[in-house]
Amino acid sequence: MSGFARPGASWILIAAVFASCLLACSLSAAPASSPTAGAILDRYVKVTGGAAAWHAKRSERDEIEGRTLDGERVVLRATVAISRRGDSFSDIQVPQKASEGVYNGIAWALSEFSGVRIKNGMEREEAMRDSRMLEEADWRSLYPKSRLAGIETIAGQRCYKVLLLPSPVEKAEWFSVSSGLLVRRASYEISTSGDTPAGYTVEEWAEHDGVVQPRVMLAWRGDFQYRLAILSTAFNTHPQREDFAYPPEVAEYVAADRAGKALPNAEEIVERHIFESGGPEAYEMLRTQQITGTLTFVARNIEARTETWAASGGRYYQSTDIAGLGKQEEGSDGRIAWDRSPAIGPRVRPRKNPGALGITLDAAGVIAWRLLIEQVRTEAEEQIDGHDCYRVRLVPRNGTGDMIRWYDRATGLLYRSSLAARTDMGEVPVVMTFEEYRDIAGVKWPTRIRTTASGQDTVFAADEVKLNEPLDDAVFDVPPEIRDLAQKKALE
Amino acid sequence: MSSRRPTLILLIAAAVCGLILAQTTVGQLTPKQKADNLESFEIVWRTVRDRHPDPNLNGLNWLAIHDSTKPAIEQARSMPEVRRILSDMIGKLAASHYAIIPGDLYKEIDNPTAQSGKSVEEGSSGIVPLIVGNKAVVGSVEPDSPAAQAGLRPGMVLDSINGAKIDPSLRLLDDLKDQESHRIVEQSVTRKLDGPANEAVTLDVIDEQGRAKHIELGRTPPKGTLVHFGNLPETRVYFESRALPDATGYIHFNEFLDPGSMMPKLETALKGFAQAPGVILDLRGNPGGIGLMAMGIAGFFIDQEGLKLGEMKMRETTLKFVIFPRPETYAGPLAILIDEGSASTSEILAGGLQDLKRARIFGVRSAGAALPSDIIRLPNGDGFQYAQALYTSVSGKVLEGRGVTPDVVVQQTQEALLSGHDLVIEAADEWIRSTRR
Repeated sequence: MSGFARPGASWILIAAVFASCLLACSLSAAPASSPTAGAILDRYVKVTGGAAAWHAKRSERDEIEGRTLDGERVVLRATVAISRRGDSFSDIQVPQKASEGVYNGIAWALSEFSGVRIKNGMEREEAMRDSRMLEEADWRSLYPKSRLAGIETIAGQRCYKVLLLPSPVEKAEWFSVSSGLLVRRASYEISTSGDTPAGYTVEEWAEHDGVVQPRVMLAWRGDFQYRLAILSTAFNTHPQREDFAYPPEVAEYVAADRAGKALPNAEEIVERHIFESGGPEAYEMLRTQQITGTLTFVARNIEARTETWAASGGRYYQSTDIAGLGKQEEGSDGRIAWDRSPAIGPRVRPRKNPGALGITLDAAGVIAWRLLIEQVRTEAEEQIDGHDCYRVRLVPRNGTGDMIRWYDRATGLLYRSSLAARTDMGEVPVVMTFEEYRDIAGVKWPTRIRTTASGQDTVFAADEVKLNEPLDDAVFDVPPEIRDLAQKKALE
Repeated sequence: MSSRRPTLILLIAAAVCGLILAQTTVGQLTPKQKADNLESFEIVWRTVRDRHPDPNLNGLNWLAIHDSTKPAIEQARSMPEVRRILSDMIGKLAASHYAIIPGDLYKEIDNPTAQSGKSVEEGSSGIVPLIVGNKAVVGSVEPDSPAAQAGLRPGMVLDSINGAKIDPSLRLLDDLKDQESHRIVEQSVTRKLDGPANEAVTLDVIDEQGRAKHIELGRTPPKGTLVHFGNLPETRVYFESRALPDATGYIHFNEFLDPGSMMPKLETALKGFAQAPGVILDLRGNPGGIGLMAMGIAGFFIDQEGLKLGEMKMRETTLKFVIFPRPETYAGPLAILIDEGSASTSEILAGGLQDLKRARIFGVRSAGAALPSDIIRLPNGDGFQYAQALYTSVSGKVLEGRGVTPDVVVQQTQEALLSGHDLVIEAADEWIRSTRR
């Protein structure tokens, strides 16, 4: 039972929790040696209460809570309801208000973060399986090709490892050889941002109304570990199918979708750009950048050469040599951020966000965009410069003004971005248009960027973009006069 | 952001006063020229509509103005006529920093050697003219210049240049009493005095005894370095600094341009004046330039972060002219000198430091032409200067049309010049001395 894949938000772990509430069933004797996967699954149903006990229950509602391993912080709190028919409804309070479920064959999600989203393809398929009470009991229809993959020691117990097959993602469960109970489950959550490893190891069990279920689990999603507890369990609380009906916003979206008028979910649009421009793995592999090009101040008859170097650790250096204005420089060695120009002189600055330049210097800023964004919505379809685009509004977490982005429907790539850039002189509306994407080191990189800011139009045309090539670290050295200035400021 | 430049001001004078100061081609327009003119008109009209800092365009019915102007452009028979029509249209905005710049001015920029196969070196006689009352007088004389060698002295009256009386230009001031016109006429005299380095200029002057003199002066390369910045016509920029007899530091530069060369000179000068009793920053006749430099220069005199000179209000946003303190700042008394020729960035710097009570201002009210502007090239080859923003000093004073009012008003006189005195510098120096007492 893989999760309801919701990238970047830990509440998607609900799915894993949800699954762990469904363990049940009839007792059957474990084979003495090399049992079949079916036998192992049947035995699991049996030792958790038996088929009859489970079949007497039409629906189930659990209150769940996830906490950091030190118990200090609640990372997840939700109420999860599922039914024997395969309908479900999850009401999530932490980390943010959201809900999701399956109703009448539609797998849906609704969040303050990105509004309504309809799950399709493999994601829908997984959501449908996750919505069924005691998935293992239906292995004959859901996982008819399941097989025993060996015997392994998990959490100090000898376990049968069963691969649940067929499945669009790898899905494995370990059952205690001695007790027949589930010890661990490992799978992948399918989401708009890709597949993320997720699972849990059962630490405690509890009996409710004749069936045995996990009560406490050590869960993980990616590198994040937390402890998941079932706070309460109730059965047959949702007797009617309509009890699982989706909220009005979802109903409205579904109606629009059927009429061919619904806009795609904004998360999917943003993630599609990441996928089409190389994928998260390619961005994660980015270590260095070296970009040279020409910056033209349109209508001013001014051209400038620009050079940008960037490397991991927040190090960057950019110089722009403008005839009549001189060399404008800015940089950071990861500790001291600075800039310098003939008109203004040398300055030590608060750490700047290089992403604001429009040329992303930090891969995390691309793939971990949810950390920076509080809400995202698809607003409209619009044609920009002849490109059919989706207009997406992103609300930053830091309280700065909303960003509007236009994604090309045909290519999925970001075409235009509009935001209010914070500068020393105040907030400046900036519109950037990204063109001429080129494949460089596995990433599609915009090599022409048109910018309008403060009524000025500029065009940056890169003539060379190098990614992941060795750089001379000396380029990030802070100039002596800046270092002196930083020391002086520190003493103040 | 760029400021109004002397050459541009002359052109505005041409439009307003009917003085055609730039050589233009008069004749039947070709179909392509007509089409380019029409497209240029649309761009000018649209740019004003979209970029004027006031979306209501001061209450003008801009669409109606479009419809009434377009037929005139279509029927125009010469480039000067097209420029006059466009100038009339933007003149309705009643704001500075709107101008049509004849394309001829750009020929030197676009192709400096095209005209004769070799570039013509500009020359200067060494006279800086000044309008005092209804006279054009010698304001100052460059040391070792042809004018200095010929014995010309500040205060002498300029009567004619190359046989042409200056009176017609001066008479314009009878009708146009504003400072803007005053400045325009002053700079038109400068333009007449300057010319090719290999050509002499003849002057009729009246000396301190009232005697008429006919003098022929050679022209030598003017001081300063030629600076080319975007669409602005090439300009000579110079910087000078010296210690006055009582050790007060004196700094003068003619435009806010070429920061790469000028700012290090300013920094060096101020380091040299570190122990001086005060510093005088002479912005008289300085028409402005790159606005960023006002913030950078203020940083040499302000050591507190977070202060600003003023605000520039644009359609989309308001930009603060933040002062960026330098690593080392000058903390002594600062006097800034201004006159009718001090415009744009000069006013932003002087007005801001006055509001912050960091500088005391001497001279006469500045030009009141403080709208940050931009210049674009039009399809017909001309340039179009337009204001992008409104500017208010840190105390909220609107500088446009009002200028910076000095703390101490000092009017230069012919008599003082003739007796070798610069009353404005002397007043500033006296104030600096008084701060020691």
